Amino acid sequence: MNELDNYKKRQHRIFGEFLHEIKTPLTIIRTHLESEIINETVPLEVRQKLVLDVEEVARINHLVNDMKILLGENTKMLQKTFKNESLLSLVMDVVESLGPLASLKKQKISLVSQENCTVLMDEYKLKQLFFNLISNAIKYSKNNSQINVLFFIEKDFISVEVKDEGMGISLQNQTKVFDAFYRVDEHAQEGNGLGLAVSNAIALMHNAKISLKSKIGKGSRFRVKFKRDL
Amino acid sequence: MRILIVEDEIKLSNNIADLLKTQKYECEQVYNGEEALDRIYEQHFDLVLLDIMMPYLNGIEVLKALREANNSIGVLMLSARNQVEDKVNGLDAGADDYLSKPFSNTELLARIRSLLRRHSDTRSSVIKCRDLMMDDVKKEVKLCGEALELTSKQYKILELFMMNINVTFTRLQLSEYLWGDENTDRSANAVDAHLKNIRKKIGEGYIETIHSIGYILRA
Repeated sequence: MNELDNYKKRQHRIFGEFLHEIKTPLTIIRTHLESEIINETVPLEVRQKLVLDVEEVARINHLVNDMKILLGENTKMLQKTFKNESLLSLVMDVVESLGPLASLKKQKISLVSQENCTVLMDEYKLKQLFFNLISNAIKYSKNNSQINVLFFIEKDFISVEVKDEGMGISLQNQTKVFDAFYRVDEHAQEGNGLGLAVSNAIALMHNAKISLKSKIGKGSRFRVKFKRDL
Repeated sequence: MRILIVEDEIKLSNNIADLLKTQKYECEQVYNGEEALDRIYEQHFDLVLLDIMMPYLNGIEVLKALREANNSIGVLMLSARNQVEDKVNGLDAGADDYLSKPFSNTELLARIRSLLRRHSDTRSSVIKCRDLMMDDVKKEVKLCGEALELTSKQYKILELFMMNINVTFTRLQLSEYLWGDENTDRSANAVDAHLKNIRKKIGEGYIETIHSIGYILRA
């Protein structure tokens, strides 16, 4: 191994350590704030502000967890803990939890699958992937539009498509959207700019691939393709 | 109920102790693995909160020593490092449950209550709040003796409230509880929708909204 590889490896390790070390102070802050929030002798307006502080702490924690996924730490170890679970119920759960968000914009989400299907997965991580794709579809589509979540079950593959009628992504941006911290709209406030990069890393963890087809003004279609382990 | 907190970060240990005291638990704090073993052998505890990374004897070693001595006390492991690896090692070594940092108070209280119930000898499966009764073995909820039909998510939320009467839960905590802590950014609305539907079934008088904070079930 050459010096540069060594250097990179060391940087990688230091960064990983940093991500671990930050967890304890975050826990201290969060538990402290939350004890005050449930304390009914603390004035209501103070407790309301602390709720917002906890949300910021949670945001830092998301960022840390996302960076861990991007760093690809412990992937092999993690795969050992994978369980064979229903992909359909997982996606249904995500659709259900995002339903209220879609109805705020009077959008309809429909979910179509011919049959139930299972894949080896880390349930929470895979949920995060579909959360990202479907909530992006909601976010980047107009009111009253339709979002379709479609399952294609083949002999060797299972694909899940998330299709929207939203603003679409230009050809030149289609590869970049999977880069960490890349935003098509620089002024967008929501999210940390890691959503699709993390989704992609989660897909790889599951030996799956994400592909994107999109046309400006027409909408986007994200497809996650899993290998069947039969 | 007596709980031993084994955590070398003094501030975190104090925060946890403060939280547990608000819930009327008695707790003791020790700051390393050796002290933990001494204390557990000397006194009676109902549950141990055990950090993994500690000086001298780490949490996994403490747990192994306990289980080798046939001590079956309930152990909830806490850890920040190498989460997956720690989880596998901890559960292999005989931990009853595992919580990774940073955890929320809700999650901590909920796990503690469920472990205490699992380990208590006089275990009753029925929790009551006024005219509301929940049987967590039959997975059944009754209002004034009449069985209610709840979806699995509604049941899960109501169970959390019934096991933590008079505790305020924020939307963030509820959404983490339902969907895991990665997926909470945009699901606060979903929490409100679930609460609305639960109220339709159990009536308005039970779960109270605390404006800009969250929800509480009062005794």
